Amino acid sequence: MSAVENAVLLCQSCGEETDHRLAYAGRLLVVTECRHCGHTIVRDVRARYLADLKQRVATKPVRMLRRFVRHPVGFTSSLPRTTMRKPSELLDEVRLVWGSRRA
Amino acid sequence: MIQRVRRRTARAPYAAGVVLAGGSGARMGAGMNKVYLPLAGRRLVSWSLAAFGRVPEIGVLVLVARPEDSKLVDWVLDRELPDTPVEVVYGGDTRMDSELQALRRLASRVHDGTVDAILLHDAARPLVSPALIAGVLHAAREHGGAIPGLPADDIVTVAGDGHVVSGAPLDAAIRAQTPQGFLAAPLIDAYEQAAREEFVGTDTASCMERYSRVPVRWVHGDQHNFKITYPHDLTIAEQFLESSEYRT
Repeated sequence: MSAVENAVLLCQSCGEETDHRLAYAGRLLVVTECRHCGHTIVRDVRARYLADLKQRVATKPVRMLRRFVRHPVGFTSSLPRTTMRKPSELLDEVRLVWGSRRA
Repeated sequence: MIQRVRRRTARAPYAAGVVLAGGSGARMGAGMNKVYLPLAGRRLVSWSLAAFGRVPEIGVLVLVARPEDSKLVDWVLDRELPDTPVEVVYGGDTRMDSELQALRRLASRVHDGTVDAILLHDAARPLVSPALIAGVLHAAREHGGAIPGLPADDIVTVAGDGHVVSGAPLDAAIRAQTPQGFLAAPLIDAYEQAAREEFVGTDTASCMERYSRVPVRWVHGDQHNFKITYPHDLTIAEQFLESSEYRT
């Protein structure tokens, strides 16, 4: 799941339906920003992120196995690429969760 | 052989669930359709499809999506709902048109008696529960049509010049939710007639009100079954799912 998504939502500040940038760390929404007026909401999810990360790590083998059973070729061929990407994705999440609080 | 045929014809008809993921949040053309936004580890649309999939009386599940979302739809169904059979219908510029496309997909099964009731649901309401779906279905089968809603006791009527006409709460008003359920045959007839007359309604009930005499019953809705509209709705929904151990 990508860390940043863009979608049209109703901004509670400018009252318009505008593009919003939404940044996620794992299953948690961390930052929402209205691209029209700049209204930004930052959530402090530090404690919840650690619990969520623990749960994601614990369930990862089962999820990987399930994906392998469904698409053995596709899963195996994409494994080196996704494995290489994981550390930087994790670092991005940590930066988002801890860095956003200082912004 | 005779026994097998008998068993097949004696089988009780089932209901169909239609999840609408057509035009929501795509008005400005940029970014993704909000029904595909992540919510607690899954895409918004997955939550309601999964809820419908857990209702035993729902025998067929249809997702109406925009053609430009087809890759995303394939990804979501494969990754997040591998064990839930979902029929995908593409097309429909308006909500009414999307509903019509789904109803036409189901028409043959309605005419041969396989599908007796249809529930239409907005994918932007991800926290719909299997209990509410079953409640709407039960009421639709009993009365003809059913709409979930919450009492709207904070609504007042205002005149065009801004004067408050009615300050007292409107006892009869509700805030309508989805899924809205109806007996299948009159629903399809109403939508085909509406299409011929190019009528565009606000929701399923408005079309039925105009083109059908089927009585529609109010079912008490669920306060968690709100529509994702504001950014903070996503955080409320996420917290609800977390507190309910990721079950609706």
